[in-house]
Amino acid sequence: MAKQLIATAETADHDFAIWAINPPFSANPYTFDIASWSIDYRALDSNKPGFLPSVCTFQALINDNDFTTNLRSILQDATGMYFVKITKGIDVVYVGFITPDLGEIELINGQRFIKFVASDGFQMLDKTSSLYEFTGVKPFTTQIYDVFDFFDFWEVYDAYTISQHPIPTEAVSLGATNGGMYWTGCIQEGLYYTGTNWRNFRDVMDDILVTFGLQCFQDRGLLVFRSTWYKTPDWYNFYGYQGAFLYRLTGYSVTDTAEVFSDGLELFKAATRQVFITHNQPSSAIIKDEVTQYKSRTNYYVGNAVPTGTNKLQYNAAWKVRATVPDGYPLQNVEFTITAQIRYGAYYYNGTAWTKTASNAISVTKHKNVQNNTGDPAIEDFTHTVANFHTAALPNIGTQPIYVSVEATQTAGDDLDGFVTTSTLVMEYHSGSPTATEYYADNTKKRNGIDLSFKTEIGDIFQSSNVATPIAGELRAFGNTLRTISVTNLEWDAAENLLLTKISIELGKTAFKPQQYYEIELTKPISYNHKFTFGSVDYKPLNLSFNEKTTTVTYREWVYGDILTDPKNGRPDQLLPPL
Amino acid sequence: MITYELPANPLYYAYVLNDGGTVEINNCTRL
Repeated sequence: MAKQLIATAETADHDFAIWAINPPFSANPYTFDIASWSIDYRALDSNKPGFLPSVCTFQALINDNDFTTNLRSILQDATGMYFVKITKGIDVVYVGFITPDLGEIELINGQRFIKFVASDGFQMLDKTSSLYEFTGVKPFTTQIYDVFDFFDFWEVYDAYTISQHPIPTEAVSLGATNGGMYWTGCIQEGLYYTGTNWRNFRDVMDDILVTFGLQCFQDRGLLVFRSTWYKTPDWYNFYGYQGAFLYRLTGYSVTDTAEVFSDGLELFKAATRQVFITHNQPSSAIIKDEVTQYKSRTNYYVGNAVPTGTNKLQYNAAWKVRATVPDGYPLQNVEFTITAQIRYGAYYYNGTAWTKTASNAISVTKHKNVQNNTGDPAIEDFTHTVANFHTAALPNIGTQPIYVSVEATQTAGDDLDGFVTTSTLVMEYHSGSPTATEYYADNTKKRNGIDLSFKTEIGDIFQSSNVATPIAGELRAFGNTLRTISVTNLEWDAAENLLLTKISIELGKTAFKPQQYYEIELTKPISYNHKFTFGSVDYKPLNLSFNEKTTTVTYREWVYGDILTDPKNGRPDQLLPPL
Repeated sequence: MITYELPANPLYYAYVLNDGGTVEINNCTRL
């Protein structure tokens, strides 16, 4: 591959260069004159994962006297791949693939002007991915490199970068700095093809963006993948040839000021009421496996269950009440009553049926003869094992969160010096697993919010063993630094939540209430990836366009807070620690 | 006030990467 410089131009502050990738000729660079230019980010107009496309439009004067130095030939070139690079001093401002057929030539007062439209190139991804074949589990950073390499992105972009993003705990010991998308991957089946159908590269990339909660856009000649729920990511990782890790940039921050020179209209964007992410692959039986984790569980958010009409929940657990017996405690019978509540949406399982009345699914009493004359406080454990407890078939009310509470009360004997109730948990489907899993974040206390729904083919699928063979649409983490072996059943936070559980809740949190929405004009060109602070409020840009001297931008106030369930829904809030 | 999260030009990255040594701007291209 080789790039050749075709033509250059200068404006007051910026330099333009038009290049050809692998042209079938030897170029003899010439200069031309720019009449006007602008760059427009036409974003999603809300904070959600996906591509944020941008377009560069520039108008130049045509030299009619010399056909060899005539930009017009680019518009009709059959084989050429042209791109434009705009720089300001040594800073890159924009790189864009020229789309020939969007150009036009206009005669104004005897002078011909030619207009070019260049873009970030994302539109080229609408092409079947059947030309890309790999075996085994491939890291996401390599997949991203390979996919964009089919479209010569790396002739144009300098590198790509992924902001702070989740990493499964299984991969941390291999080198957390390389990032979660370097240490995780998937097989090709499920993401790239389903049965006999190959999907488009665009659909594949959209799924990766949803699964990791990323936006993808160009920022100053870099392809940027940015997590949607950080106001300011702590770090950016850079990846190079074939997705190799280059380095981590931590804590970079440079500030600038610009005058606001037009008045703004203050509007408000709606809060997000519900987020649905559908993982469009058959679920395994396991909803959550914490077989070794003894935790205190009060309204403990387990995950979401999807009813099939016949499936039920299967609950396995080991309960432990650890009591402190004070010195001088006389021999006597001590009894604890331990209860478990299993909640599915607004329903409680009462041992025989699902009901909206608060009920216990299981209640047991454990007693022991206890005595302490050792001279020191002693510890006494009251334990109970729940084996294959089955509920009735789940009510057919769509995907709902499951909560478990395990609580104990002392029901006989003199008072002990306090006790702590903990339990392990394995929650599974019984009598049928759903064909897709819907993850749900509930902020319904904002009754007038909007609902977001996404679909992806890639997500966590719990298997019976962590070394099980990869299956279609499953997220895998690598188990060695060579990335030749991979494991399943990933833990994305201390509470072992699934990645899409976390992503759906984080997306809800970033619009948990209405946000200020401004359109303003600033007195200098400003690149997309920034934060704007005005009157001590932080804003992130949604749509942005700039030219030689000014920027017009729509800002959304940055908000981040807990999502709250409508009290009338009769279920607890989904409170999870931030990613 | 405007706060940028990423440096304005790839020379900065090359500098960080190579600690002032050889400047390789396009990190993704096989040479």
